[in-house]
Amino acid sequence: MALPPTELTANVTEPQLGPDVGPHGNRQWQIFWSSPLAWIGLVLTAFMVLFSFVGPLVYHTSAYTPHLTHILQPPSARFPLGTNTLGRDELARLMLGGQLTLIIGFIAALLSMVFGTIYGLASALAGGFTDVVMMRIIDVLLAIPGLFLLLLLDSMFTPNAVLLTAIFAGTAWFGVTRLVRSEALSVRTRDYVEAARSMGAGTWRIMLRHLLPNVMGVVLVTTTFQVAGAILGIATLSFLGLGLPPPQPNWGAQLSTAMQSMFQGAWWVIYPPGLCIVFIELGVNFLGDAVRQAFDPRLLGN
Amino acid sequence: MGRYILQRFIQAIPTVIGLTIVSFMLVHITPGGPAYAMLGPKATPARVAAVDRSLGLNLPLWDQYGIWAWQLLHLNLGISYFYLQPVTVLIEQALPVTLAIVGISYVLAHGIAVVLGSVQAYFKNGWFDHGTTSINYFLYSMPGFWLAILLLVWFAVDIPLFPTGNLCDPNTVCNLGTWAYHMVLPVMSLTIGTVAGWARYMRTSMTDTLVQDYIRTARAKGLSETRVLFKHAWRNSVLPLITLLGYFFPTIFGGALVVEEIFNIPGMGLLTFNAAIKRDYPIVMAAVLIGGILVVIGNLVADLLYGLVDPRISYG
Repeated sequence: MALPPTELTANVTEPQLGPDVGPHGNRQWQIFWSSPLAWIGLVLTAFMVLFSFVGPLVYHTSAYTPHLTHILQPPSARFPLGTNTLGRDELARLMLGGQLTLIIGFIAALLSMVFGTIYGLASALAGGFTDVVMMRIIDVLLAIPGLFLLLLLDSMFTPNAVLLTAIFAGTAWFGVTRLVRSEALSVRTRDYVEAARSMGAGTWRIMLRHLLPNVMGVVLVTTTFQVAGAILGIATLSFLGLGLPPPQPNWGAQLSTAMQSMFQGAWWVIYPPGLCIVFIELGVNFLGDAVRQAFDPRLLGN
Repeated sequence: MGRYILQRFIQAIPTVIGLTIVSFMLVHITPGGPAYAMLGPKATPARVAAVDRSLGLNLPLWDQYGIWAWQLLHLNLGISYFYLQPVTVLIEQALPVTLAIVGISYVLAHGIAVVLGSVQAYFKNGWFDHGTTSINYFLYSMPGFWLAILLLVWFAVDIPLFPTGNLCDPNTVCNLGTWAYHMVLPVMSLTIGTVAGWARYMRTSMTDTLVQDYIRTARAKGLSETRVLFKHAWRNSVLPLITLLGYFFPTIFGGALVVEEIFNIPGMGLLTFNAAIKRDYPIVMAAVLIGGILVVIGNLVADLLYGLVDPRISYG
């Protein structure tokens, strides 16, 4: 779930531009690094990345081997976070489950950023009737509840990592598009774009050289929140039993299994997977807020 | 005003037509038709062809869309492949349940967020503000289904205060009381996450309002703080939240699906979920369409409300 990008701020405060802030200015990064939110976010995100990718190098227990004599055991020296209903080691599964979640989340957000930006810029540049039609399509896609769309697409194919990435990217890009378009529209009629056009610059050149740098702030902010959205989406789909097929571990799927042992008081299968999701979501959301403070042109100067 | 409403309605028509096309295309361009799902291991090419014929799936796509859309205009959404009942009947049973969960959560979340955000803004940077912001960050980053599981474990299993699921116990009489009793945990799950998202907007909005000139004037006139806060500041700072009403609608709908799944509540979410897994096309198409239309209506209502509440906007 991404935050609605600063619609509210746009309503409440007058749009202001900071003094002479170029699109590539270092000032934004200075603001970013001086924010405590950025640092907390980085630490949390880095922690989860290390946990998922470096963790298995340190902790060698297999995530797949069922220990049939140790079913649903509480944490012990042998199994630091206990075992699940199949006697599999929970800690190892948490680490392994994080890997694909993070990879899919980041790649899906990047893909949706690229596609959404191109579509939004194209729509703004085209203008007129084409623009209206292109945006109407976005209206329609935005109106469908995202989870319904994910569920539907996911249930039609046998999920694998590539497909999941495609589905998340494919259902997330329209949010970026709208923002990019409105941002690009405000730049499109500026004198320097007119000048470039009159000098014979082609559509692609205007798009890449003149519009893109100006919308990068908005794009960066949305993309960060989309990483959070995609990770949450993967967890939710896996929880609903539509993620990667078992025995592939995933935080959401682990929680779904945990529900079966709800009545046995097995807290070690209920809390850790949820906390993993919260940590990475918190980290990315903090980063997103720090990026927004630094890069959102509507907030600059405040 | 009347003209504006009409205009907005007309603007919504292409979106709704688009929705019918999308929901139709989504289930028809994908592999693995319902025949295979219905026949299971008994599927032979001849049987598949026979089922396809009986469902009209052998016709060209545009003919199928035409037939479907024509029936749609007559409010005929087809017959479910699995329940063998008209989809309209199934939806008539399921939709009110979801609308109730979503509606109650919506109103509760809105109320709580407005109060919480206002108090936060009033005591800006105090301990209450910081504490609430931190908790909200945490709750906001929490997946809805985990929150639901935790509430279930805490308040239905560990301390058996509430039922673990269903809308009504089969053993007890179904009335408003038992219904509300079963609704407590699902509504709580949906409300808490939403409040966390909204309170920060209310806080920002209230913060911006409190430094306005007319607030200073109101204070200078000697009005009591409660009067300034609740009479003068509140009204203006709630405005931006109205826009959010429309924005959060799809999200809450998705949240309802997860909550219905966990608490086994026979609403639209559960119906859609089961239908999607069984490839029950008519239900899935109807669900996507109805979900989309509700979002369009939500946005429309938010727009109109905005105009009603904010005198600066005239629809002339």
